Order: sequence, then structure tokens, then C-alpha cells
Amino acid sequence: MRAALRTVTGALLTLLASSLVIFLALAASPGDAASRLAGSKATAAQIAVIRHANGLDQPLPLRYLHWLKSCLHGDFGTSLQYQQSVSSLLAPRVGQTLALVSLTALLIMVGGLGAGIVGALSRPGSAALTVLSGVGVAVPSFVAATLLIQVFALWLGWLPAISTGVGGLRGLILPALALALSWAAYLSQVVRASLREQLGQEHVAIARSRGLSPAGVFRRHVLRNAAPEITTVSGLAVAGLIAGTVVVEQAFGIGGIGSFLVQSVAGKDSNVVLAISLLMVAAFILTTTATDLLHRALDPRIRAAAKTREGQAR
Amino acid sequence: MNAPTEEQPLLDIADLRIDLRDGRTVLHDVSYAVRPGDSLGLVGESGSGKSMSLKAVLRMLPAGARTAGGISFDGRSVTAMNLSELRAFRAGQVAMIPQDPRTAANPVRTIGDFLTEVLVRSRGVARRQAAEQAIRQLAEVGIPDGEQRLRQHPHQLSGGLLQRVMIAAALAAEPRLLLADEPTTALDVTTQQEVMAILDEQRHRHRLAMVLVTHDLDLAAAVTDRIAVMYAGTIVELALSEGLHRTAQHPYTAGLLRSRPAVGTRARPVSLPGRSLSAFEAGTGCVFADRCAFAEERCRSVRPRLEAHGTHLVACHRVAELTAAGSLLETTP
Amino acid sequence: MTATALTLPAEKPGWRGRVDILSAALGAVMVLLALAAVPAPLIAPYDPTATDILAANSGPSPTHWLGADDLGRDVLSRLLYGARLSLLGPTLIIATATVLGTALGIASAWLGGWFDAVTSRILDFFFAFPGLLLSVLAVAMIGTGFLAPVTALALAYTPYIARVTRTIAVRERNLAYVEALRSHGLGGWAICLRHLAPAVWPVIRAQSAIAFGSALVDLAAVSYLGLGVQPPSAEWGLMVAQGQSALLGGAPWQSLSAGVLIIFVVLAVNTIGERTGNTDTAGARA
Repeated sequence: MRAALRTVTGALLTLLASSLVIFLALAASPGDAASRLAGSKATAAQIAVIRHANGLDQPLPLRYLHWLKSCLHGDFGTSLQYQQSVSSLLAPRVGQTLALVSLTALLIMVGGLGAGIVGALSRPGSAALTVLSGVGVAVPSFVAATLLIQVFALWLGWLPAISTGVGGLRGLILPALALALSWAAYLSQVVRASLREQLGQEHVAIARSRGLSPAGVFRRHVLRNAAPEITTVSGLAVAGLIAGTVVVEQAFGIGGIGSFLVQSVAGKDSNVVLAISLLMVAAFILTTTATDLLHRALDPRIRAAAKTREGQAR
Repeated sequence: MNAPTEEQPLLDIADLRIDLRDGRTVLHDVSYAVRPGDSLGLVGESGSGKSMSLKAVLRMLPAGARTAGGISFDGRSVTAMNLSELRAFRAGQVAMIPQDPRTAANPVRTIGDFLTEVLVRSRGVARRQAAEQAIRQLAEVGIPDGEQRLRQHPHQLSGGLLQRVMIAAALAAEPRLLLADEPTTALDVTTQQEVMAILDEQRHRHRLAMVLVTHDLDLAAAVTDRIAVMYAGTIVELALSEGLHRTAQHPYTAGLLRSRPAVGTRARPVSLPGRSLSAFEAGTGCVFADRCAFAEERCRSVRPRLEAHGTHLVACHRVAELTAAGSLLETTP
Repeated sequence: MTATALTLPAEKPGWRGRVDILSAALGAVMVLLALAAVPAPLIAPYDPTATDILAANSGPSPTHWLGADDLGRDVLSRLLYGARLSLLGPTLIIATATVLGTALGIASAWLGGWFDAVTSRILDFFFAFPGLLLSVLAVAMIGTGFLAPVTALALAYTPYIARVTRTIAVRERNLAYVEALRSHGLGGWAICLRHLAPAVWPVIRAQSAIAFGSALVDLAAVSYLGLGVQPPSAEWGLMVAQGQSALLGGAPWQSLSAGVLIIFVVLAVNTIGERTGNTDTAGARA
């Protein structure tokens, strides 16, 4: 319990530190927010008024605290490009990205776990997996996107090449596949190695010698014991996806926060860049922390080790 | 087999031979039988094939291993069983007591799960009923606080305690045959005796047959009815445990007896010359010929069969001369 | 945060001691590719920026082996020129990360105490930033181009190397021979440089090879997004992006050939990394 609490506290501190670094990085970036907000025809006096109204004339530490406070209230300031509140711009886009991430995560879990199990249990399956996953790991999402578009959109004509304006799941299938490929390949390698290690354990042979069904032994003693490691790598994969959406959204023209981030960096819209970076880092930290806690819950040996350490500390 | 009897053997192994996938022979010409309630010790050095024969009984040999000869249990051939019969046989007729209890239980599952798994999953016993039975079983092997133990994980128990859990788990299935593979080697010396005493007591109470694999001749002599001494994948001598240390007839058995240290005697243990061979390393002659002080020409060319000599079964060409001369055990107390 | 090294699961045993033919062959191809990139002006059939409107979006032909892009520039020539930036970038990233990471890892392991604690905290912190996001932030801070993503990625990859180094160095430090060296009066610097660094090196070399592939992909992704190297420079990630409209128009050559080249290079370094890593660790254990 105490170790879990420490993990969560650590995550919150990391998030706080991240917010500071992101804020400072963008404060140091060139360009004057006040003059952009005021528009190109504004006079120096008008700019000064806007600078003051947005608190941009205050010292940096105060601006940071002010920004942090508003962020906690869900107010990420005003977009310099759109002259609109950042939150209202993000709201519709977050949903798109979440849908993409969820579908991709599902594909990674199903594909990686399935292929890894086949690879661990069958000899020809393992040989095939070695080659396929080896290549799969090496395919970047934007190259996968190009290949998928060529095959499924242009040659076969099954799915749309560009997701803009395509509602629902149909538009997300190719992007999710492109994003999932290398992670699923990586996960399948980890799953296979982990399952093989467990299959070789003495207690698995003992369980078999006790007349338990092969399926039961596999589920209760092999898969269950590989679960902590598989969970950790899956968690890392999902955490990695969050930044990966940037590329795939751009490739398929999905209007999520990833493509919005790229657009805002290009347009020097620092408030939007700040907000999206913070969201992504938060999501990343949330995922890795949740993975950590889940790993702990799945492995009684870690729980016990933490407990004895606490006992000694007292 | 040995003493003539009307009773049919529970476990009957005849001319068993095992070759591994790479063609190496690990067991050959092995025959023994165990009657209900009877116990047999398989004694030998590591690599002598003693554990292999236990694995063969459970059909748990390494992948690709080939078995020849007969293994029958209660008149049924184990090698001919189909997979569901084999599962039922493993779940209900035999139970294995592992060498190292710490690697035998799944580290992420509870003791309770280990004890009740076979009952619940293979026999359809209700979970609560199985748990109650497990608590009773734990009490039988000297673990009073069973209810609490069921919720613990293997790493929270000491090796000795965990081996008692293994014994309880073996008994839980109400088997007829126990296969114990060096059940005390991984334990502290002090706990070894405790655990062995519990195993012996439980075996007698439940009238179970047992095959005990060990490298410790004295231990085997103390808790089994008969002993089969194995060397290089085969049995070289089979005799009653009682008094074996005085009546050993095979030079290897005698060598084993001489090489053990004994408290309270001044005689130094005499180690056997050379190193222990595996079955596939033995030549065409007697498997022990290379290390035997009495080996002659025919010992190196012709393999002796396991034949009756007195009350023993011995595989030695010179058994008659050697026992008559009485020189075999002269240095043993 | 979760401490997971950037390792691919080791698979094939039995390569120990022998020269790995596949690794050697892939390594040779990589060297050839790098060698071709340096004197690209001599090898490339065309000037990478020379346009030939008549050949625009054409497929492979005797004049343009891999076709031409939407402006009629020769794809093969651009790939060869592109290799300079596409390979130089990850080389700089990994060289920096390896030197910095190894130094930090060994220092943490050797000094321990507060230095170790502070370093670990900072590395943990950088773990919370995906490399790609860090690159995008760096671009927002100092503008598009080569420098921002390379700096950001060097920072992002340092923790991976540092963590692995620290783990091995701690294990090594606790071995008896280090104690013996100390009792012979050898100083910390000498032990770290002459004993710990060589002990760490085989694993780090394999890790760095695999990280090279990831860095190449990340850097190409930044270019693909239009935030890295700017046109008309030739760079593989940029070429995949620039070819995309032609792809939709039925002329996939630019995107596909650049994409396949990226896959090949990543596959090659991954394979080399895994195999040499395996032989080395197996050899060390034997």
C-alpha cells in the first residue's frame, strides 16, 4: 500500500516538474504572444493593454503559477491562431484521438498476445513469428501508413485513404493498424519469450503431472505468471501510442489533438502547444503509473518484497 | 520379481528402456514392481537414471524421448492410456512429491490454490469443501494454522513447511502410489528428518505404495521395504532394505556403503574410484566394470543379467565368488 | 516510472563464439550505404534538386531507376543524398546518448549516494517525455530544422543507455575483483575507465545499435511531420511525406522507396544489435 502511494506521489511530482519544463520551454520560444493576440494592425498601446490583460507583463514564476492554476480549472488560455479558448478547440479533438488510441491499443493487445501465444506453442508458428515480428518492429508508423494506403485504399479500395470526413470506425481502421504494427510485433516477441520462460518452469511440469488439463495449466500457470511482464510491456506500448498519434493523425488527416499539435507548432500557437504537450505527458504518466500499480497487484512477490522493506524501514 | 506373492503388483515395470531425442540411452533393462502398500527405494548417484523412471511412470519424459518396455499400473498399461485416461490417472492414482518444493508451487498462486487445484478442477469438488479438506490435510502433516496458510504464497513459507504442504497436496488426491523424488535433498539437515518422518507416517496411515528416489542409502533403508541400487541407467542389485548394509552383494552397492561417512566409527569413508557414468557412456560389458576392483575380462565384454542370488537380485558375473570370499564389505563396520 | 530497458527479447542461442554471417553481411551493407552517402555527388546519377517536369511522377525507367518525384527530381539521387541527413542524425543522437548515458550510468554506480539519487530522478523525469513529443517541443522552442530534433532525441535516448549502464556497472562494482583493485591502490577514475567501462561496453554496443534504429525512425517522423529538415533538402522521412500526394495520385515510387529503405536500415541495425548482443552476453556467461 505504501509503495503504491509512493508510486502515485512520484508520478504527480514528475507531472508537476514536466509542466514547469514545458512552460519554460515555450516561454523561451521566439515570438510575442501579446502582439499576435492583438492582431497585425494593433498599436503599441493596444498591445500593452492586451499584454497586461493576459498577465504577460508579470515575472515568469508568477505567470507559471497563474497558468498552472488555470490549467487545473480546465482553462488553457486563448489560441493565438484562432482567438478562441484552447479548451473549446481541444474538446472535439480529444475524442478523435482517444478513439484512435483505444482502437490501436485493442489491436496491439489482440495481435501481440495472439501471435505471441502461437509463437510460444507451435514450432512453425515460432519460425514465422521470428521473421514477421522482426520486420514488423522495423516498420515506422508513417511508412506503414503509406503501405496500407497503397494496398487497402488504392489497390483493393476497401478502406478510405484519408480519414477526414469519414465518420465512425471505418476511417480509423487503417490509422490504427499503421500505429499498432510495430508495437504489436514487439509485444508478440515479449509475450513469446515470457511464455517460453514460464513453460520451462518446474511448477508447470508439476501441475501437469497432477493431471490438470493442458488448457487449465496454460491459463492458470503459464499465462497467469507471464501476466506481470506482458502487462508492463503492453502499458509501455499504450504510453508510446499517445505520442505516436501525432504522426498517424497527420498521415491520415485525422482531426485529433496530435495533428492539431503539429499545426500549432508550425503556427507558433504556444498556448495550444502548451496544453496538448501537458495533456500528452499527463496521459503518458497516467498510463505508466497505472501499469506500475497493475504489475504490483499481479505479482505477489513484489508486494511481499515491498512489505518487508517497509517493515525494515520501521 | 523378488519375494513370490499372490498379490498383484500395483506398479509393474518390465524391461524399461528410455532413449532421449538425441539418441542417448538414459535407462535400460529396468524391471521392478511395487505391491499395494509396499515401498521401494531407488538409490544411486546423479545421472543413474533413477528420477527418469519416475518421470516415465507419469509419462512426463522430456519431449522426443522414446520408451520401450512395459509400465503397468494396477494391471493397466500406462503407456497405452489415451490423454484423458492419463489425466485421470495422474489426478487420482499417483502423486508426486517434488525434489525442491520452492520451485514446485506456482509463486503467484496461493497455498490454498495449490492444495485444492486438483480437487476443484479435475474432480469437481466444491471450492469450500476442498478448502476444508485442505485444512484437515495440513493439520495431518503438522501444520495447525491451515486456514491462514491457505491464503499465503509459497515464498512466505520455509522450505520444510512447503515440503509438508507438498505432502498434504499429494495426500489430498487420495492416490494409491506416491512417487517421491529426493524429497529432502533441498532442505536443511534438521528439517530433512522431520519431513521424512511425516512422509513415512502418512504413508503408513493411508497404506500407500511408494517409490522413493534418493542418493542416500541409509535413508532408503530406514523408510522402504526394498531397495533397488541403480548405476548407469540400470538396476545392479535389488534386495530387502533390512540388513542390506550387511548383505550387499554387488561391488557397487558395497562401494556405496563404504563411501558414506558414519558418525561414531573411526573407519574413514572410502570413495569409489573414477566418476559415475551415464547409461549411454557404458560399453557392452557390465556397466560398472570400469570402476570395479574385481572386474575381469568377461565383465568388460558381456553384460551380466539381474539374477537371483540368495534373497537378492544381483547383476554381477562374479557374485558367487565374491560373496563366498566375504571380501566385499570388509571395511564396513 | 517503469524501468524497462530498450531490449528486444533474446531469441537464438547457439551463436556464441562464431562469427555471425548475417550480422556481418548486414553490417557490410550498412557501411556501403554510409560510404555511398558521403560521396553522393559522385555516385548519384542526377543533381537531387534538378527538376525535369517531363519526368514528373514517372515510374522506374532506364533514365530514372526509381522514378521521379512530383517535380521530376530523380528519386534514386535524392535517396542517396538523403542518406547523409537520415544516417548522420541518428549517428549524432546515439553517439551523444551513448557517451552521456555511459558516463552518467558509471558515475551513478560508482559514486552512489546523492549523485545517484539525483541522476536517477532526472532520468526518470526524461522517461516521462516520449522522444517524439520532446522533439516537437524543441522545434516549438528553437524552430524547425535539423538541430532541434537531434538535440531533443539525444536527451530522450540518454536515460535508456544510462539505466542499462548503471545496472551492469552496479553489479560489476560489487564483484570481488573491484575490491581487490581498490586495495591495490587503484583510483576511482582508473577503475571506472579501465574496468567498468569495458565490462559495460558489449551490452551498451548492442543497445546502441537497436536505439539507432529507433532514433532514425523518430527523426524521420519529425521530418515527415514537416517540423524537421525543410525542403528542398533530401531526407527519407521528408520524402515519404512529399510522396504521399503522388501516392494518392497513383505514383507511389517516392514514398515507397524511401519507406522501404527506412525499414531496411532499421531491420539491419536491430538484427546486428540483437545478434551481437546475444553472442557477447552468451560469451561473457560461458
